[in-house]
Amino acid sequence: MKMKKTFPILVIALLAGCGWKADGLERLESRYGTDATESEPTCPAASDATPEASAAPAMSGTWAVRLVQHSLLLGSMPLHISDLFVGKVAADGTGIDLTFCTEDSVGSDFSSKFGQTTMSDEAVHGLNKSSPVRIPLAAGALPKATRVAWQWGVNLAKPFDDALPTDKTDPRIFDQDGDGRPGLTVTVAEPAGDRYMAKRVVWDLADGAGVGGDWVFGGLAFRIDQQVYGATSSILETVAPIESDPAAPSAWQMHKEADDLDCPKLLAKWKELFGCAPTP
Amino acid sequence: MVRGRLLLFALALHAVAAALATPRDAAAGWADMVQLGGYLSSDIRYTIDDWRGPRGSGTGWYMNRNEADFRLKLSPDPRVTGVVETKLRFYGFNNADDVGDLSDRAKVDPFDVRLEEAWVAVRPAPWMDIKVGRMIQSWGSVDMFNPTDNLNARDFSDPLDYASKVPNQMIELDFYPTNWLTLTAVWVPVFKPSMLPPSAVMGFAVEYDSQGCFAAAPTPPLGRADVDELFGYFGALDRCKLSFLPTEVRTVEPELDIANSQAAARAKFQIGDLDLSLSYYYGRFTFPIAYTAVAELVSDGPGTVQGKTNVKYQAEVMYPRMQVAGLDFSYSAPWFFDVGFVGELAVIFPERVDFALLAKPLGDKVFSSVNVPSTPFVKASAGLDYTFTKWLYVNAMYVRGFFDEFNDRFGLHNYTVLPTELKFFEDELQIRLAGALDCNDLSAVTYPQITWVAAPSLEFIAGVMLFIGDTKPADGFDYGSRSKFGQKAAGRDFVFFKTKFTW
Repeated sequence: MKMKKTFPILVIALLAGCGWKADGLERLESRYGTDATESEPTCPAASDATPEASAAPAMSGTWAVRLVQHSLLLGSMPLHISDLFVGKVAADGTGIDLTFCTEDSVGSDFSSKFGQTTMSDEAVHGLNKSSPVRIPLAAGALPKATRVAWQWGVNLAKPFDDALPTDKTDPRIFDQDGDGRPGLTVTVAEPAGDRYMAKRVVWDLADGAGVGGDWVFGGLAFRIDQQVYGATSSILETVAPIESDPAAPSAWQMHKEADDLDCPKLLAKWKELFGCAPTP
Repeated sequence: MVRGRLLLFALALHAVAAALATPRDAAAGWADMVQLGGYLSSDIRYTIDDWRGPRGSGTGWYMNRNEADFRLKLSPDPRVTGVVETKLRFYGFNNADDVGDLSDRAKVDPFDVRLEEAWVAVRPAPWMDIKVGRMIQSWGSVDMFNPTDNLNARDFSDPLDYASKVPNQMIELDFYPTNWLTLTAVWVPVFKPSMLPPSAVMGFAVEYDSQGCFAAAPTPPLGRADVDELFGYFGALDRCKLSFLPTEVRTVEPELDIANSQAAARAKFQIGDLDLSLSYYYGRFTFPIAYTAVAELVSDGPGTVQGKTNVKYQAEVMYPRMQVAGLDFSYSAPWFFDVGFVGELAVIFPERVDFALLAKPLGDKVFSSVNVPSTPFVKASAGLDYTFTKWLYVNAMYVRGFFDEFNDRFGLHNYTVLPTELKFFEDELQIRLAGALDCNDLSAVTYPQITWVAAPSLEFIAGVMLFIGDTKPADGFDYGSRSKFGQKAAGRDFVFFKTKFTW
């Protein structure tokens, strides 16, 4: 009888240990915390969509343009790059000319500054001046599948195919932002420092589709090549390969805007605007 | 008158006899009450390898230690016993760093004083003992490898003295309900961790090649995919521009809370030639388990190198809670050549430990993985010993789970231990061949020694300690592929010469 009572008590005492847990992740969060993450924009539900949801807008006037490239840094680290432009459709309707505003890059699963870059106004101005981007259109129709190359700090004869120069004295490299450094200077948030580089991105835009009257969008494939010609920190001299993330489809997205849209206005609202943008 | 004189004479005689007798009786009484013991030892060691330490540290004097141990046992009453054992240890190496230190004897000739035991025991009833104070418990039946022996932490600061333990304050109650059963209960209010060998820091050391370029870093206890990703990042960098600051490893100590006390109970049965114990322990594992790590880039500060990418790595280790249900026995088989059999089994119910690594250069990316699952596991040891002749003694043991193994990502390894003693010239000359072989990775440690007993209380011992196995892990991306005794954290190879005088 005594044994019958003792045994369950012993078992309970032993099993009590099974709930113990030392969580290193909680420990790190308590010690280091996490940066406050920005709240996700509230997007209208499907039922809130306008009746003209399937109507394609006419390709004219001014557009807020984002090319969002979901990529993997060093083969595994998610990095989301958004190139933001103000687009003006040419009077003859044969293309949309893009004015570059900024490039935003952020990791996905962490409040990361890793890989984030900023650039000076001179660099933005230099890109708009000597590396303009134009997406061809067919007489005001939605963009059709097309390929665009965008070069930073370099002027290649065959922009789609030529390899980036490895020698910073190569005449094809030029000081695009006028800061006395080869190529274009970008400021990296982490690892912190300036990097003097050339970059070539080749975008393959898929056929466009319209939705909600104000949106046109399509799939996007891309290839990014980079070459570094110097940096303020040795770690930034390493070229970290950026590849397309096969698990996260990239896209180009355009939203019809009033004609007075400019870069400051776009930068003030782009996160909210494109937070609800349609994706392929 | 004559009678009166005789009486006076008798009284005087008695007084003289008493005066003469009393000191002698008192001395005899004190001799019964007091026991003195201890030893003097001198221990010099010299490292003989130049590949197991940090790069650039070759052979050299490793120890030059002198020690005096004093043990006093006092029993002023048959029911009361007090014990004090203290150790005075001089290390023999000059620690003076500047001229100012040269006037400080403690720097020039560093030493420490250790209180190994300080306890008092009282027997309030014939069936009960109460013991309070600083003491060392030894539970289990097997020689050295006792997974049921968890009350005192281990003192591995001296790799040759692997039987040493860290004393701790505790209260012990012993009950003797019958002559074949002893019940013991022990409470230890405050947890103390095990002491590690000086080489333990090598477990966190970064390796550089002969050009000074980064070669390898210790593998964190993460899954393969996470390690691939983490090391893939470093692999993409210029190895020769990487500089790692010395790794900081912090211990996360349990709070001084009663919930972090340790407690244990044991029932020990003596049935003929069989000694059998059932035991239970509630407390913590005394060896550190990897818990967190943070890697970050720093641009300035102590230890940074200009023009290089400086990486700072901070780690934390902790002592997980556990419960242990144990069984151990020893049995001498008169029907089988008097071979002694011993066995010990511990079922351990561990606290789950999730390891997490924050990689700041990767944008505060966090890698996390279960390091110790909550699944109960078994540590065990079993063996037999036999005296073949008066000059040959063999002890063979199987051990599952070394002292510091806790079923983390390193796992539990299996070992064979085969100490053999040969004695010659009436035991005046002894040769001991001892060592342990890790059956999982085939690494080994061996420490053959020869002892000359110059007098009954005086020994001269010479020997060598060798670690055999790969210093590098078989798979640099697998935490569990480190060689148990081959890895540098296990220790250096050295020769030693000891002199010990016991009283």
